[in-house]
Amino acid sequence: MSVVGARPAAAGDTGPRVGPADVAALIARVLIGGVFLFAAYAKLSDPQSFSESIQAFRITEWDPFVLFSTYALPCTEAIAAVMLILGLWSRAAAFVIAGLLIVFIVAVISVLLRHLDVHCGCFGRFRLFCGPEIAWCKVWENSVLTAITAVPLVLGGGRFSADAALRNKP
Amino acid sequence: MERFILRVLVLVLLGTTIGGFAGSCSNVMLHLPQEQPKTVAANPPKTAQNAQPGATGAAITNDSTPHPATTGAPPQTESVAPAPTGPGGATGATTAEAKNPWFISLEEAKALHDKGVIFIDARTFIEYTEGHIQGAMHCDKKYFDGAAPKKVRDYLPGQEVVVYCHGAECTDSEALVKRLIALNLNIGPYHIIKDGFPGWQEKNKTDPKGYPIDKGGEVGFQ
Repeated sequence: MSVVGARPAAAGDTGPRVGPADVAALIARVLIGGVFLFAAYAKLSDPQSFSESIQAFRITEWDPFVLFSTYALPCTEAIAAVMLILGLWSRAAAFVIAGLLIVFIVAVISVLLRHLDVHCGCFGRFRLFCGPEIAWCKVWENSVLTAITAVPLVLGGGRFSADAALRNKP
Repeated sequence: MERFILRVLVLVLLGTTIGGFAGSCSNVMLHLPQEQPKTVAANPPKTAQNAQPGATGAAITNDSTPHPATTGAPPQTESVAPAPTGPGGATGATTAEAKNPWFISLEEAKALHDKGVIFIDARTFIEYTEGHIQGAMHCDKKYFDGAAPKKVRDYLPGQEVVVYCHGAECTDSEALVKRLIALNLNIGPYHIIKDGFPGWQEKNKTDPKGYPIDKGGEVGFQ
């Protein structure tokens, strides 16, 4: 049933050998998935604060968009994060998260260039590496997360993923 | 490739659909209401005669002074507070700020301070200890993560309050007022000082008695 590979083991392979790419993909998936699941929880547990953060960014003052973003952003984060942790549709989930991170980076840079005093609301009342205030640290933080997200985006979910299990299904 | 694009679209659509549905059922308050909430005045502020028991005339004092509203006045006869077209007894009601039911000028804030109305500092506690309007309560919106803070439940129901932060660019006062309204504790009318603490500080330089400032921790709201 299992394919004993003539080619070297790579992420997503169904052969018996576990390569460093599989481990790297697993670590990156769990790390990014965990961070985004936590971020989604922090935002959804206090939507009032997150909506105020979105308003403070002054990207739009159109209320329906602010209200929509207040819930759609964390919901999308949560769904993509769960999929990434499970390793189901890993590349698509990683792509969605990378897209969100790029949007966040652009938004943060725009706030910095406009010299606005904003708390980002990224992790609710919690923090990752940087404080809640928008600063260049946030750009670096999001850039590092984007780089880690690129691992499952490029390599796929790896051997320890639902994608691999479904491929192995007889 | 088509499958990848399809999966991305499914994930985004799923997230935005659930989020959009949750948003439509949400009770998030994006803006302050057009009108102030109706309140019943249970404990009107005291008169100007005893409004500043600790006022010594110094521009900035190191000892925080308890606010008159915290000194335990017995509840008065209940009466429905009038619709707030501006703070009671305040001057300058024809200013642009007075058209907005929430924002008040520094002169109007001073009149309310003299009346003994409770002032709330919505900035961080560090900023509060560095300097705040004399007798102000510190109340950061972060305090509302769980149940309402005890001092809010103990001192604010039935009270007119004035909230301030860093001024026109600051949204912390509005954020705090939204949370106080959501508590339904019969607090109000609410007033927000448009120029915030920086404006009050400027006035303090020329009129330290009229615009008193304290430093240090909070006194009288434990």
